[in-house]
Amino acid sequence: MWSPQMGWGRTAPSVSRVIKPLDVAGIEAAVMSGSAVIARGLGRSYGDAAQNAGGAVLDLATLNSIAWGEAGIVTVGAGLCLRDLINDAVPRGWFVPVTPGTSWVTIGGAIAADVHGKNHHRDGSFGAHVLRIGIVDGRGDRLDLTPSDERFWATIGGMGLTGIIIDATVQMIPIPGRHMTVSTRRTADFDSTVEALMSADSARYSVAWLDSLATGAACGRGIVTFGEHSSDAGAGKGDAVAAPRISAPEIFPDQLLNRRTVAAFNSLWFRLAPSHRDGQRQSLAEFFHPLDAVAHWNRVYGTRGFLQYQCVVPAGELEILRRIFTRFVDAQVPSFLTVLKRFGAASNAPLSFPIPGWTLTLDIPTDVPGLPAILAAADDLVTHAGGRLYLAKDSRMPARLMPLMYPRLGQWQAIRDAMDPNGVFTSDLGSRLGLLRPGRG
Amino acid sequence: MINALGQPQRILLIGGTSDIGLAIVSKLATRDTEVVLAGRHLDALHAAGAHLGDAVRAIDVVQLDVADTASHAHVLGEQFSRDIDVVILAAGVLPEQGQAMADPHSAVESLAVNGFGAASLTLLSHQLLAKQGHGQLVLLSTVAAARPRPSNFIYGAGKVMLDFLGQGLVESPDPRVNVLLVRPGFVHTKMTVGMPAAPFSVSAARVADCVAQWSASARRSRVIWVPSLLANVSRVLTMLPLAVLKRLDR
Repeated sequence: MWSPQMGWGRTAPSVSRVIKPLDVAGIEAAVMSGSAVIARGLGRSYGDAAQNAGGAVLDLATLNSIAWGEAGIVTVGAGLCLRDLINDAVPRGWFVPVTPGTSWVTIGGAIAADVHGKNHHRDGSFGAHVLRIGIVDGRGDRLDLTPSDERFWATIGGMGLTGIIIDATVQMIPIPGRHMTVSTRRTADFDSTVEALMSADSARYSVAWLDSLATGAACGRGIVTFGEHSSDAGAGKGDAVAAPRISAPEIFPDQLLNRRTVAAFNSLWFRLAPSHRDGQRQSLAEFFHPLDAVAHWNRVYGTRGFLQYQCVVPAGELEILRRIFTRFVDAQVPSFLTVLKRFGAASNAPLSFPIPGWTLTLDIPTDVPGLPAILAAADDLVTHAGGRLYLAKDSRMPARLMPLMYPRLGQWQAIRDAMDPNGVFTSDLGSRLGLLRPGRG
Repeated sequence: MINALGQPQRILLIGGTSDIGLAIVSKLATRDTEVVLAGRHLDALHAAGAHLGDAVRAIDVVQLDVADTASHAHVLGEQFSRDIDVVILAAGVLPEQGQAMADPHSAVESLAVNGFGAASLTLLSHQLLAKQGHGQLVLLSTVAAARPRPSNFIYGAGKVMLDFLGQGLVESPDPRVNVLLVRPGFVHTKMTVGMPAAPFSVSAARVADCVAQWSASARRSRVIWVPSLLANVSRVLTMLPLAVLKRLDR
């Protein structure tokens, strides 16, 4: 009856009952059952967003419909995986407007976390492309929300706490084919990485990988890639985004990813990258979801798990971001996935993560000595800069920082409470960060 | 909620002036943790809280008489109006064996605390943590509960009840609650000051380290001995002839 649930980081599990509604009536029944509930998609949030200790999680995998309208407008079930939408859309000449670094994300999850991708500086986050959300609220009522409704924006980035999303209408983007034309620049230090990213602003997609362990003059060296959709010269057949080729077994020892192994990987990765290359052809999967090639890659971190620290600081606070990054480097925190990215305009959603500026992401094993203090110091700098942490990635930030990082939290809570007057929707993340008013849920 | 780094947000220490209990709190808590100290004497609880100082976010004290089992449901119920991530049961008294033998009434008083009182708090805490849906329950037993020894079997008699319950909870786990039954040997604390230290004695900090190690990544309920060597020592003790045990216990 009780089933342990974890996030992608495989930390802090809790137990819930898993309910698999077959249709919307089943969702309405679950909401009215008297149990606390939260929707759970594919479990790609790193922390405890889709956990509900002592309550229920709703698995909506059966809500996977796809209905195409005119001009790339598609209505999809909340449980549909982004990968399946991409594979259906690409042969029709369309692509998802925003994809995060994995295609193993449901539509409901993409809305609830307001996910962003390599095109945020140009196209914003996922919610900017959603035209309508169908949702069951805390009274068990089915609502159709549109961008003129504040409840629509409270649901975007609302971490599933405003209701159970059942479907959504999304404006897709036209693409000329199933390939990408990619440029690569290897950069020598932090300044040149930043410069390369800024010069790539006109590219639709851009991102930088950083070597988190390179010190001295090489601190902040990295690989900047930018890309555009391109046509299909000699295009292949089959799925645009193929299934994983291999799966990581559950045998990796703890501390496999340590300073020495990550330094070796980072150094090799850096050296293998071309210093300057244009016009490389890549598949959509290679460009957008390289890690999806290995199923369960999170097992590489062993039983202790890992966390992802993703912060954003306003555009004018690049120096603070440099200090944050330098502190991780000085502490020699072993992160093999360290990403720097420019964000464009913010969304209208109170809990949406992106703000115009710079976002830095590090994957960190939880057993790094002194990690709590290192992260607390980073939190202080982020808060001081007027920045914030990404809730879909968070698994450890203190609740007291929430209203500082998200100044519109109170506004969001008021809308949420009106949508869920009986406190049906709860999650471990919601409890941990004080998103739910005291005494609720 | 306990976060990915194993940091609890709210801890309840029953036996709020216990040296071992406070050492565990110091080890688990961060500057974002709220601590509730429960015990009989408010002044002593405030003094204990002052020692924790700025290391934690907030300290609350609450009056609780361990021997008054009828009051437990109300006191704990109030504290559970907000989530508690870790309950540490460190309440207990150490009766002087000779005096307790001479005065059966005082012996029974100690049993009311170490036995019935602890049992009531264990079962209630477990029930409230399960209802809440998550949490850790740390029960401080003792090696003295493993085998009656001439020098402390009245103390051990009370602790046996707690130990037996704890073992039962560990062996019949509720997936919502992770239980840690801790069996330390002789621990240097204010309760044992002036007493001759037994072999394999440890500090309160050592006990706290062992609890913290389990708590940080608790995935299942467990019984631990501190030091771990005591597990084997205890097995031998339970098999020793009484004559040998009496010699060792001098």
